Amino acid sequence: MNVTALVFFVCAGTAALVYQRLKPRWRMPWLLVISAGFVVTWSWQFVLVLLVYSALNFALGQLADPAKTHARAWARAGILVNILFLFVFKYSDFYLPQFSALLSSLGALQPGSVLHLLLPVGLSFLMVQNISYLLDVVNQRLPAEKDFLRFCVYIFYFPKLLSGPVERARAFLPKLTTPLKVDRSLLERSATLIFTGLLRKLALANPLFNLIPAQAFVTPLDYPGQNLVFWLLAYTFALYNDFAGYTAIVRGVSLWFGIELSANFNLPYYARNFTEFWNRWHITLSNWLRDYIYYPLAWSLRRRFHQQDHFFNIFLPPMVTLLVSGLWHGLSWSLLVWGALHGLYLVLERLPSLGKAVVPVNKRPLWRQRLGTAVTFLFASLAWVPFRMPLPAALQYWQGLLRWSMPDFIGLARTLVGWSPVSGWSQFDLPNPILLLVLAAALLFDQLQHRAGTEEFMLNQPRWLQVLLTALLLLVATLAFFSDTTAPFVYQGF
Amino acid sequence: MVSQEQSGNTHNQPCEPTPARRQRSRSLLASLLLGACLFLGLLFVFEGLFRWTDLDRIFGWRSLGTYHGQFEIKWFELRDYVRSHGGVDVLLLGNSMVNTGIDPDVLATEYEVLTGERLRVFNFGVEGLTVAPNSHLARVLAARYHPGSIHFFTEMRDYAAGNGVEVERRLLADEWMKARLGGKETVRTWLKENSRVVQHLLFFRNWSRSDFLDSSLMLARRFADTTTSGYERDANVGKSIEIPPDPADPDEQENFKLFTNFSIDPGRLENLKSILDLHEDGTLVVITEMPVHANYFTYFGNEQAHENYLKKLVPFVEKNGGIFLPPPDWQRFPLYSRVDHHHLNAIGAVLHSRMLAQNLAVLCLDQSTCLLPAADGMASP
Repeated sequence: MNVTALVFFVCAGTAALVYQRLKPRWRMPWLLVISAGFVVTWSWQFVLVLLVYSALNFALGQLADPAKTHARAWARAGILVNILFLFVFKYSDFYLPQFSALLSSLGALQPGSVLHLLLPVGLSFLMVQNISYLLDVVNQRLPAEKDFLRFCVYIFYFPKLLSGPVERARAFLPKLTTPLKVDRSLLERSATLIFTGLLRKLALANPLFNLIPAQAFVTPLDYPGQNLVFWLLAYTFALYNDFAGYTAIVRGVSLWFGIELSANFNLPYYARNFTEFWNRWHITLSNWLRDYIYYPLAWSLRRRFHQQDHFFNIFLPPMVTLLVSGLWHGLSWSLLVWGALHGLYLVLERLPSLGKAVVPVNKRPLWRQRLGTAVTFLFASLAWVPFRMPLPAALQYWQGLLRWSMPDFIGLARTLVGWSPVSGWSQFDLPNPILLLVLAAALLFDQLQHRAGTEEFMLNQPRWLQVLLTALLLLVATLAFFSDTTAPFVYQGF
Repeated sequence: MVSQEQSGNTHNQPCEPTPARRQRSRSLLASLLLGACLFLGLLFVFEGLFRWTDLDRIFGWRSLGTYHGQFEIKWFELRDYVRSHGGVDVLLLGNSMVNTGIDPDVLATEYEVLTGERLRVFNFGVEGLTVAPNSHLARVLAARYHPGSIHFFTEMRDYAAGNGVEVERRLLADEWMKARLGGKETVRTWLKENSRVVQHLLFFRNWSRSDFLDSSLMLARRFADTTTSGYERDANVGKSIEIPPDPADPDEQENFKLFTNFSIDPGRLENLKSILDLHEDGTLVVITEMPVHANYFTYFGNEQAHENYLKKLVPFVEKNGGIFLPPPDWQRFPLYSRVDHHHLNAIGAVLHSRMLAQNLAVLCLDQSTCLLPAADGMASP
């Protein structure tokens, strides 16, 4: 079930109404039932897989309790099990063909057939959550959860199941026990988040994705450089609005149950450097990577190489962290390059500050902050190229960005005055005006949030704008209802 | 990958519900309601404007949500035609050859001069439609507009199994079309069929597709180029028409592959019968061919293949209650009146329309088989 579908809101709303009417002791089972029901809309087998996965991690959590013997070994085993679990399902394309061939040679499978595994929804997100749970238990930041039902709800909770936010058990579990009071104020916050999320997804992300020709990311050199530039900008904003929109919607829906999920985005393209970028982009995952990979690695290296500006101390923590981030997104060279690029950006960013005091970015002159934003945006956008397409195509895309051609202004003028028949737009080698319009809207939308200083910025807007945006959202949703194309959430693929 | 404090970032402060904030929040909920009312109100206003003024035709970008934009142009043009003329007497059905090859106004005028009867003629030639989808379309149009005569222009390609199947599949798989053919009517199909404002919105349904601007500009041009009686003028003049198509030409190989060993597909003959059966309701059904250049038959072998095909087709038409009208002699069409081996251009269309009217007049005056007008008050635009 797609979280932008009307049926999702109707079901979630009904579930929330029932939830509010239930006695507290029945609320947890109810959350598990509706979450499992949500999973069933994808596949009933996923429920079984997730139940097994939950039971496994619950048991590992008990074994990783520091009060028990070999707790640390069990925690390590648990981490391996989680990685293995992800590998078995997510990267089955790598080993199943060979495994199928082996079975075929043994006569257990029809020759030529290949086994397939369904990837349970949100598995990558669940993996990092479970690893943090085990590490928190073994490091005594959190007692091992004794209530299996509560632990299952932590895993299954439907608003965060598909694509996060990545919630830590120590922050999330208490929210289950003591949910917020669902009053008018909370419902208004919820409405704001959902409204913003729907606008981001339906009015900005989907159009921007669809406005890029599919072949542009396959044979980029077939297109003029100026169009590639705008399509890269479109992808840059589409990806952000897609994921930020998704997060806002599920956070809004979660508030119906009195459970506040963590924020995941804070205007990442306003970041003044890459450190800030990673504090604004996919915040919950970035924080996870920071806390469970970057810091431990940095501390460990610091103990080994005492000099702060030792090459390894500067280079390894960001590089390893971002490479892991790339691998988390998928097992491919292009995603590794994406991670490596961001790792490199962070390393380069730290070089000028070696041996001298760091001036916090918000204390720098305004022009430097603005310049920093522009440079960060430029290089973050360039890094999306390998994120989006395989490496050979990415190399061509980068190359193509510099190969501009002269647009056919004469042809356009002839058509406008009626001397040539109208036969399309792409022949003029000019950027698509609809794309420019949506890009401008995306920029304006972020600017509104930037000026308001909160994700719930719609609350602060003048009434005429709220009314207009509502009507616009309904128009876009109506067109999407009749449209021939759909655009699933990108991060659901991870 | 450093702490937020270091980067000076202060994101996502939780929103404290201060009284002022609560006031603003209340206004957001009211705004959402107002926005919804505004949207619905505008829909109703435009529905009224499209329904009761000429805005529907003036702002001609309409759609039914099918993939076939040119079919939709014809569909809406016919609706407008019936609305302004009170009905349609003769429907010309066929493929792109008909679309650009017959001007109904010229045909009607010439026919009136020769027979004294003024008929309302509409060209419903649609690109890529073989006899198979046309058989369904003829039934839908006949049930809706009750024309007195249906004139179906057929050709050899119509009867080659495998030709035009993709167009047929996609058009007939459309939910709106299915509902028109007696399938399940849903909210969506009902709205597509009955709401003018939805039809205008449907034109923009793919506004965010990368090819929308290209396709919509092209369709807008074609809409402008199509007359109110459904004729789309083609000003192009073909080259090398006197040279037969070359089987070695990579662009032609697909055609040769499809038509070289031509035989009439029985399923397609059933489709033709379905059109012919409309005579049972009192509709005059005339079957004709377009005056294609002789080189066109190279795809099928030679002109003998065409002769053999006619030997089977003509008796079939006559046996099933239709009238087969031979096309005008192809040699009467100069090369400059053609776009290619089978399509006529604007010059050819005028010539053809006159000759066709003359043939129909001969049929009427000599054999007393005249085109029938529609029964008054039967059409339901």
